[in-house]
This record gives sequence, structure tokens and C-alpha cells, in this order.
Amino acid sequence: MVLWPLWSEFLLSWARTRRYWFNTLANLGGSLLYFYAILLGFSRLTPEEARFLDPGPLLLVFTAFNLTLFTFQSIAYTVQGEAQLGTLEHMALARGGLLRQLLLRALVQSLFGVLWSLLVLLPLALAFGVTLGPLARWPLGFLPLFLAALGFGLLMGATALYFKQVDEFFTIVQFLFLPYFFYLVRFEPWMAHLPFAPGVHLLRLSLSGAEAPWGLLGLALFQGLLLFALGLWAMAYMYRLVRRRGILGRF
Amino acid sequence: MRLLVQNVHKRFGKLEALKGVSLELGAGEILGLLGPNGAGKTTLIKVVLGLLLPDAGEVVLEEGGARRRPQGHEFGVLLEGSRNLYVNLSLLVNALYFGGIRGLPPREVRPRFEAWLERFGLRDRLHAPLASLSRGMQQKAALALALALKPRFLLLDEPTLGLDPVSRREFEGILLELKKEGWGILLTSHDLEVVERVSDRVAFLHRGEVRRQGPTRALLRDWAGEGYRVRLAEPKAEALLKALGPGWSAEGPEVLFFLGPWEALREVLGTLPVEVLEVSRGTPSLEALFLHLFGEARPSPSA
Repeated sequence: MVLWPLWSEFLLSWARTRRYWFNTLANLGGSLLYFYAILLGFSRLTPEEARFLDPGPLLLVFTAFNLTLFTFQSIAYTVQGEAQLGTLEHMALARGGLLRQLLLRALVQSLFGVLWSLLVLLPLALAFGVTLGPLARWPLGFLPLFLAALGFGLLMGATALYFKQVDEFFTIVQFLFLPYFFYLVRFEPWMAHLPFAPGVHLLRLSLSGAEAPWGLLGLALFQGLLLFALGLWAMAYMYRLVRRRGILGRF
Repeated sequence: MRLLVQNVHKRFGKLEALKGVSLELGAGEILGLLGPNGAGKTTLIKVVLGLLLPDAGEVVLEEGGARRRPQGHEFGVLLEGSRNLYVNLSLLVNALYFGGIRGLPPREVRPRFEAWLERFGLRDRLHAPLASLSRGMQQKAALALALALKPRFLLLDEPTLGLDPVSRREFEGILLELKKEGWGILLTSHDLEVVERVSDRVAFLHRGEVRRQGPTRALLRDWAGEGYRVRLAEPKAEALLKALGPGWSAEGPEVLFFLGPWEALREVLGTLPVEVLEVSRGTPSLEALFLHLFGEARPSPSA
């Protein structure tokens, strides 16, 4: 039942990657330069300055950040873009409905996000001799983060479903994520209530080989599930509302 | 199998877009949904598809005694033509994508889509972006896609928009073939000649209300009774119409239609300043009925 709807999202992503190849290349080139500059900066630090900075896990957290961003954007930008193109109503005729199709697209976009990140990061890590030593259980650290990203993406998607043009709002929200991903010293208890923070910290611990406390895993999982449930509810509510008001495919 | 629209109401603020609309569409049937701009046709189609939730009433699919709400993927649809497709991607990618999200594998969609493109003379544009096609070709491609999904019911909103006369004829033939194969087709169009030729039944929608509905031929007969079609030797139908008075309408440059008794017609025929080639009995056109219901009514039903 899900196979062909999922396959069609792969097809669409690949077709768009090829059609807009210049944009894809520019994205890869830009990321390469961005991470190259970061690694260059690391290589110039003295051991004292770099005592909290391990480039390996940090690079992987960058990958996680990219993945989160792709997931978050895929739903929100899909709704906005498809509504403007006029294809959202056609997409809503998918077997299983719009919500399921959006989740499938988010999954595929996330995988593409990981692929692009790895295409950039692995050659750079090799070139700079960075060692990557994540624990085998790192996916457990990743799961709550992915759930939270999906949930947040759905929440933003619900906003886009109603307001349609919401780029500026998304841009601001994206900047709010950055501190949680790139705080460099330690996890503060007050951060536990911020979206993504426990998940990111858990992932960071898993990737740096440190033991992750069970309490933190529970907290991250709870937050991930809560955001996901909230996102699903918001999307279902808004989907119903826009169909009632007749603004699914237009302003 | 029947699709039933039952007492559907829809209001947008102060505008009552649908006021208790009830319709029925069976398998192997073409229903023409007609009405002036803003009558509620597209709104009704969106309600049927589930893209719009009604305030009251329901849409039901009746099959073998069981009744259920139909799902969007069970319909083939042409909504505002190619606006619902990815215009920068190829025809094939569009077909495989929209087929895929409806659960159809490429091995089913692709041959059907290619066959329909062949039929529309677009087979060689399979890999071309939709945007590179002319307006009419885009319409044909969108139509080919709707047909390739092989749905239970086909909802076509202005399908002949942008089609040249040859393609329109071809399209009529396709609709009649699909009907024979058992497809149920809801057709909205301002191309009333096409609707008149292909539809089994028509429903006239005006300001959200069904004003009349029934079998096309019977509706025209019931409305006006039998009349006479007068074929002229010269294209002067419009010019003569002004002098002829009530009961007369022009169906083309050389064809007049008269509603009334034979005696009255015979009197007028002798005074016409143009040679009459043929007089035959018949019913008025759908366009005449449309004009009567929604515009300058010619001819008057009282004639």
C-alpha cells in the first residue's frame, strides 16, 4: 500500500534534483566551502582552545542538523510550494490522504538530506584526517531527534497550510534551532524544555562515544513523541479547517 | 455502482455556494453539469473529491448494496487543466508520480499513459517538460494522465478548454468509448455542443441550486416540445433573427430553429427573403435551453 506512494516521492525528488541541477550543485559547493572553512578553523586551534571541540562528533552533529532541517523544511516548504504551484489539491488525492503523503515526502527528503551531507562531509573528514567513532547505539540517539523534527515540520506545515506564504516565519524559526545543535560546552538542565535540545545532546553523546543517561533518553523520546503527536494533531486540524473554508489550494 | 450527491450545502461567509444539491452518477453514464460562471460547479466537484467539506449533506458511493464515502484516489480528475501538474517536469514523471501516489505501479501507468498520448498525438513529447507544450497540448496531457489512472469515476472540469476543433471531436469520441466501457463521467463545460452530443443526462446549476436535471433529450423536449429546424441557402440566420420575433433562434450561420405550430411556420417561410433548403422537425439545442435559463432566453418557452 505504501510502496508506490513512497517510490513516487523518490522519483519526484530525483527528477527535481536533475531538473534543477545547478541549484543542487550550488548547494553542494556551498556546503563544501562552509564545512571546509569550519575544519580549517579547527585545525588552527591550540590544544587548550580545542579541549571541548572534537571535530568528528561535531561533523556528525552537523549532519544531524542538516537532516533535521531537511525534515523540517520538507513538510513546511512542500505545503507552501505545492499550494503555490496548484498541485496541493492533486497531492491530496493520494491513496491514504495528504498527511500520509507529506510524511512520506519528509522521509525521502530527509534521506536526500543525509546523502547530500555525507557527500560533503566524508571527503572533508578524510582530507583533514578527522576520525569518526560513533557508538553502535547512535541511532537510538537519532530517533527522538528525527521524531521531533517530523513533529516540528508538521507544526510548521500546518501553519503553511493555512497562511500559504510563510518563508520569513520559517527563516526565523530555523535560526532558533542553531544554538541547540551547536552549543559547545555542556547540556544545561534548563535546555531540557527547549525543542530538540535533549535529542541533540543525546545524539552528541552517542556520537562522541560517551555514555548517555537513561533519563536523558526518556526525556528526548518524550519530547520527540510529544512534538510528533502535536504536529499530527495540528496538521489534521488545519487540513480539516482549510477544507471547510475552501482554501486548501489557494489563499 | 452509483455515486450519489445528497442534499449538499456549502457556505463561504455570506455566500451560499451550494444549496441542497442532489445528483446521481452511475457507471457507464455521462452527466453534464452546466451553469454560468460562479454557479458552483467546481465547488461541487471539490466536495465530491473530498477537497472541500460540505456544511451539510454527503457524497456516497453505492456498490452492491453497500454505501461508503468515496476516497479521492478513486477519481480521475481534470481540475483547472494542467495547473495541477508539475509544469517543469516531464509528462512521464508527472504520470508516474501522480499514479504512484494513488498506489499504481509504473508498469500499469506508463503503458496506459503512453497509449493515451499516442491517441492525442503527443507520444513523442513523453520526456518533454509540460511547460514546453502549448496550452491545448497541456490540456491533452492532463487529460491523458486522468485517463491513465483508470479510475472508477472521471470528473472533468472544462476538459475542452484550449482544444482545437479536431481534438474536440476526438475527445467526444473518447468520452463515448469510455462510457461504453462502463466509466462514470461528470463533465462540466461551456462547450454545450459537446455536452449535448455526449451526455446521457444534464443538470443545470445556478447560484448553488439545481434548476433542472434529467435525460438530455427528454429535458429539451419537455421544456420546449418539438420544433422545426430551417436550413437556409445563405448565412443570414443572425440577420433574419431580429425580424422574426419570438419562437426563433439561430443555431448557426445558416440554421434557424423555430418553436411553434407548423401553420405559423408555414406563414413565415413564404415571407423569408432567403431561399430555404430544408425544413425538418427537431428539438432545440442545449445552448438555447442554457440561454433560456441563464441569459437572454431565445426562444421563449411560451412560443
